Amino acid sequence: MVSRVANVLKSVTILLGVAMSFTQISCVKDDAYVREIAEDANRPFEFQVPANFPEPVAMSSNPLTEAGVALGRNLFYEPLLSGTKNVSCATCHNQRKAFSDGLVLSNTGISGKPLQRHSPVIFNLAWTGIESGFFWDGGAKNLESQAFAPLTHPDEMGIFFPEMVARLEAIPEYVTLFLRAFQELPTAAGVAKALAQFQRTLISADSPYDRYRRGEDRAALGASALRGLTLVQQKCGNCHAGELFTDNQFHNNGLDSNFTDDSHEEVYFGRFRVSRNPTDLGAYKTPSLRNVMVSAPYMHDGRLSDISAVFDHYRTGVQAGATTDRSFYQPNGRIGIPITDEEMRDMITFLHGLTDNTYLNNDTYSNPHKK
Amino acid sequence: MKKYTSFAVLFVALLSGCTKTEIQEVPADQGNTLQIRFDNQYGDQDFELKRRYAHQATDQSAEANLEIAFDRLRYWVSNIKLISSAGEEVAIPDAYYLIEETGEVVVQHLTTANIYPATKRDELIIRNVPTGNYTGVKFSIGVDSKYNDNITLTAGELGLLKGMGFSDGWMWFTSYIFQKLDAQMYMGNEEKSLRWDSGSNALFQGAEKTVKFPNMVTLDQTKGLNVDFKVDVQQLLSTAANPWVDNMISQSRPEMMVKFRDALLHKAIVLAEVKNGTAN
Repeated sequence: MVSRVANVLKSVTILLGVAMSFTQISCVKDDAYVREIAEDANRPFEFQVPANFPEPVAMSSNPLTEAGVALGRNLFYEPLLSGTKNVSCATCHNQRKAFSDGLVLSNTGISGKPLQRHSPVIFNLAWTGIESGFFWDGGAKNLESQAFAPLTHPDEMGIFFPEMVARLEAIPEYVTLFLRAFQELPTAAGVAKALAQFQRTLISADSPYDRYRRGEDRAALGASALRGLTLVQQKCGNCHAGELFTDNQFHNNGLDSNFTDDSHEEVYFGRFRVSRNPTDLGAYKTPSLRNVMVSAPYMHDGRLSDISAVFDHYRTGVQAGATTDRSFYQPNGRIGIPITDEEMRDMITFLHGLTDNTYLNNDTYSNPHKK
Repeated sequence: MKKYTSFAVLFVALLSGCTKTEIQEVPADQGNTLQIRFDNQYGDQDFELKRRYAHQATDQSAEANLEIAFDRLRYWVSNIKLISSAGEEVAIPDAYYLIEETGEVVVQHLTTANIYPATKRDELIIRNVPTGNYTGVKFSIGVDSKYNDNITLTAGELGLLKGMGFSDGWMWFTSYIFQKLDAQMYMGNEEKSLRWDSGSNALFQGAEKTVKFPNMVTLDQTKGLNVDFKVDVQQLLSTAANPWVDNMISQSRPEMMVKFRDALLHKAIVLAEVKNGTAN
């Protein structure tokens, strides 16, 4: 609490100083002016943990603030962050698709060339810790560090940081937001921190399943969906675990059995590329099942076009291999997950119950530049 | 107090129209100052970028005789601690220094071609070091996990735009590049580039060098301390039995990264002289 007060005081002092330096006014303090600045000071962002969720991961070096989150939201939808000024984070992360883009491999970056991996969904990232990290292989330790990859990649946003900073400095609204959020003028690190803050506030926890789970609406899931819930927990819960419907771990789900292709900086090695642990060959991070019905296609390379293709894979398509996850091996030696057609129908009904329309349409997450 | 410092720094920064203030280093001409110098050499010869040096690879292959011309050598020196005569370690706060000798780097970019200027930085100067009798120094090559895991954190000279992190590669893997050697190799009419990079938290384990001074040295208000290292770049090439063959080292080759680190830490960097700096 003491440090919070100290921070606010510091913000006030700095904002006052900045205002004075801009206008070259004398150092006579005006009480009304100080009060006005104080009202603009950067308040902590109130992060509400859904009742059925675990505690999120703390990020003490970049605490959520109202100004930081607002800045991050503006930047998320800001095409000036790309070399050609026409690609933003939202180009490949569309809120209506749970911030994925519906493409197998995005080709909507500044070069138009397809990327190596499928654009992932964005929600509930405040529950992802440093040990699992970000990207399909967890190569980025935190959202702050992750942001630099899409920003600089020549086939994604391809921005050069000094150029980016110069563009932001030229826009008074951004200067104000940066000063408020970080008590400094725009920097590349500030961009990454703000983007991370905004993304941590993206919470999807209001699907029919959640309303059922929290007892808010016992009729939110029908009989088929409830059977599906039990089946998903039994048959998929090993990896799609808990309320987040992901264990945030890395598994080889048997899409491939050959990992000799070392091209593209070993992108086909999966988690092994990062961990260098041989058991991680072909392993990728478990995506959440939340909003799965609005975020096709599937898998790290988008190779499975719809949910039935995913079920086909787990029922009959899992390939045996030295690193294929052991949970796919049945006691009888067969590989895959036994699921009847009827079970599959119930499971798909349940998966629809994980679609969070509140999230997909939440105005506080949408493009602030479109008023 | 800190509040007013921030205020003052920002105030000055805004008035002068720049986004970052840099503390100008002063010569080590005052007391309580530690100056550490890393003087590049190539065997017995002076080290110069772009100059062709002969190198005999140790693998006895037909491709063993090559010439090599260096474009850059850069590495982070961090975690600096003086060892007192009582055996205590005196840690230097925020000790992250980029030691480098590099030619101009053109950073290709869509809107502008940006140039990282040719830079030679071979010494670091630390002021306000506690008075004491010192018998040695410790430092590490690379960046500890706290800062290596989050590129937005800053301390010392750590930063984004130095070409030793996210601005040129490794975007998919959170880590600074701890040390980097770029060169052009020549054999007959053939030419090949050498790109050796290393980094990662795993590599930071075992990245510390402990150096004992020949004699105890006093550092106080009137006397600074100069520690000079010779850095033999030829020894760095011993990382690979034949650099012509092993011309690429990166995060994907952890064993080679360890060899590269150890070649710098234990073979290339050698203590040359420890003496008191002159006090004016």
